[in-house]
Amino acid sequence: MKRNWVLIPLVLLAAALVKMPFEASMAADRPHTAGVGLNLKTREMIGQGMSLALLGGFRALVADFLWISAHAAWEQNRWFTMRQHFEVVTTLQPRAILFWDMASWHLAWNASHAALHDPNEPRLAVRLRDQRHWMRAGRELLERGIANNPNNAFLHEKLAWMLHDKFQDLCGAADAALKAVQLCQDWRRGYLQRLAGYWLEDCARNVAPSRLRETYDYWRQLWLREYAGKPREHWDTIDRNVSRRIMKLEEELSIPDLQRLFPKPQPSVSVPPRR
Amino acid sequence: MSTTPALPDVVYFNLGRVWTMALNTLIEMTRQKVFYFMIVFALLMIGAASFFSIFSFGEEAQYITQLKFIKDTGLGAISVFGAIIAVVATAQLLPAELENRTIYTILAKPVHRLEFLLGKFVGVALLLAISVTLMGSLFLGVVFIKDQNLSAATYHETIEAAEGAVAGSPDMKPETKQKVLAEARTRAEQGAAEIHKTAGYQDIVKAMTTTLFKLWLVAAMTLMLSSFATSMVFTVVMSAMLYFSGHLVPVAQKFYATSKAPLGQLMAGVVNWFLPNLAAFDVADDLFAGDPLPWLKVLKILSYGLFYLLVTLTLAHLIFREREI
Repeated sequence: MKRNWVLIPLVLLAAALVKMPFEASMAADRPHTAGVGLNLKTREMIGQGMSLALLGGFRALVADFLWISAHAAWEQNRWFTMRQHFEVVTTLQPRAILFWDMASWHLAWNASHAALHDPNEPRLAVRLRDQRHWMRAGRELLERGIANNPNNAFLHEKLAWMLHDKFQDLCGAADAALKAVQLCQDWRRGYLQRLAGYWLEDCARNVAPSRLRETYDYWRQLWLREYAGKPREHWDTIDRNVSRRIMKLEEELSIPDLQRLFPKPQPSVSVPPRR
Repeated sequence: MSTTPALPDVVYFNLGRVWTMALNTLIEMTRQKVFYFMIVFALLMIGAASFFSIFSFGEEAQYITQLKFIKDTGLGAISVFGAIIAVVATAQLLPAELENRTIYTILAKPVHRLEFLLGKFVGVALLLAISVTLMGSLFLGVVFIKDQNLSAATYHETIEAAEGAVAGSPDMKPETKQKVLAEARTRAEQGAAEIHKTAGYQDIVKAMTTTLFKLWLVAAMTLMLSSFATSMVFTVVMSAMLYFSGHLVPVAQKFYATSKAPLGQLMAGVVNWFLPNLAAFDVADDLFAGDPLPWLKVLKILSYGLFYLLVTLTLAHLIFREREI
C-alpha cells in the first residue's frame, strides 16, 4: 500500500501536466465552446432541475425545452416570460442561428404589435412607448446574435428587414443588407444583392442624398457582374427594373455619355433633300 | 512415473484471458436485460419525430427547427441512457463478483488482477459500444425519414406554388411560363438540398463517436471508484458527482483564472487540474450550429479520451492490486 501513496499522486500529477496543453489545443480548435457559465441569474431563471441537466452536459436539450416553453408563452401572450426564456436559450446556445432569428422576430414584431394594440391600455402614448420597448428588445437581441455570429449573412439580413420595417431606418437597413451580401455565399445572394440596391437607393433618395453616387456605383458594378451581356430582347422583369434604375441615376448624376452603361440614343441626323 | 507438466514460475499478462473475461462480462450484463432501454429509446425517438412537427415556428425555420429538435433529443437520449448504463452497470461489477464470491475462484487461478480489471472494463466498453450503435442506428433512421419527408414536402410546395402562379396568369407568354417553372424547380432542388445539409449525417456520426468515448471514460472512472469502494451506492453517487464535475471543468477553468476567493480558487483548481474535461466531448452544439469540425480535430478529442482512459485505468489498477479481498 505504501507504494501506492507515491505512485497515485505521481500519475495524477503527470496527467495534470499533460492535460493542460492538450485542453488548450482543443479549446483553440473550438473557440466558441469556452463553457456557458451557470451564474445565479441563469439558475434562478431555469430552475433546479434544468440546472442539473445543464451541469450534466445536456445544454441543447435544456435550450430546446425552454424554447418550447417560450413558444407556449407566446401563444398565451405572456411576453415577459417569453423574453426571459429567449434570454436563457440564446445564452445557452449562442451559435444556434434559429434561436436569435426567431426570438428577435417574436419580440420586435409580435410583442411590439401586441403592446400597441393592448386593449387594457387606453393611453396611446403608453402603448407607443411599450411598442418601442419591445422593438428595441428585439433589435438588441438580434445585434447580440450578430456579435456572437459575426459571419452569418442570415442574421444581417434579418437586421436589415427589422431596421427597414420596424424602425424605418432606411440607411441602417441598406448597410445591414450590404453586409449580408458580402457574407452570403448561397443561392440567396442574387436576391440579397438587389434588396441591398433598392434600399441603398431608398436611403440616398429619402435620407442621405450624398449616397446617390455610391448607389449608382453599386448598381453599375452589380449590372456588370451579374446582368451584362444579355441581349435586350431576352431581358426579364429584373433586368428591366435594374437597367431602368441605372439609366435614371445616370441622368440624375449627369454621367458623361462615354462612361454610361446605357448611353442616350443619338439624335438621328436628317439629311436635307437635294434640290 | 507421472509426467505432469510443471507450471511456469511467472504468469505473463495475456490478452486472451482479458478477452474471455470481457465476453463473460458482456454476456452477464446482457442476461440482466440491459437492452430493454432500447424500447424506451425507440418510443422516445418516434414520439419526438411526431411531437416536434406540431411546432410551427415560422415557415422558413420549420424544417431547421424540427431537425434540430430531433437531433438534440436523439443525442441527448443517447447520452442519458449511455451515462446511466455506464455508471450503474459498471458500479455493480465488482460488488456482484464479491457478493457471489466468484472473484475468489477467478483470482485463485493464474489470472492477473490487471487482466481481471481490464476484462471487466472491456466488457462494459463493448456493451456501451453496442448500445450506442443500436441507438445511433435508430436515431439516424428517424432523422433520415424526417429529412426525406421534409425535403419532399418543401420540393412539392415550391413547385405547386409556381404552377399556381403560372395557371393564375393567362396572359403570361409560354416562354416566360417555362422560365418560371424552371426557376421554381431549381429553387425546389436547392431547398431540398439545404434540408439534407441540415440533417448532417456525418455530424451526427462524429457527435456519437465522441459521446461513446465520453461514456467509456465515465465507465472507467466508475470502475476506478468501485476498485476501492465497499458499497455500490457510494460508487454510483460518486460517479454521478464526477460526471457533473467533469462537465464543469470549462467553468472551473474560468473561475480559477478570475476568482479572488482562495477557497473557491482551490476547489476550482482541483477540478481543473485533476478531472477530465467531459464537456470537450460534447461537440453536437458546434456541429449543428454549422461550425466545421474536421475528422482530424475529432481525432484529437478521441485521443484525449484515450489518454484519460489510460490514466483512469492505471489508477484503478494501482488501487485494485493492493486491495485485500
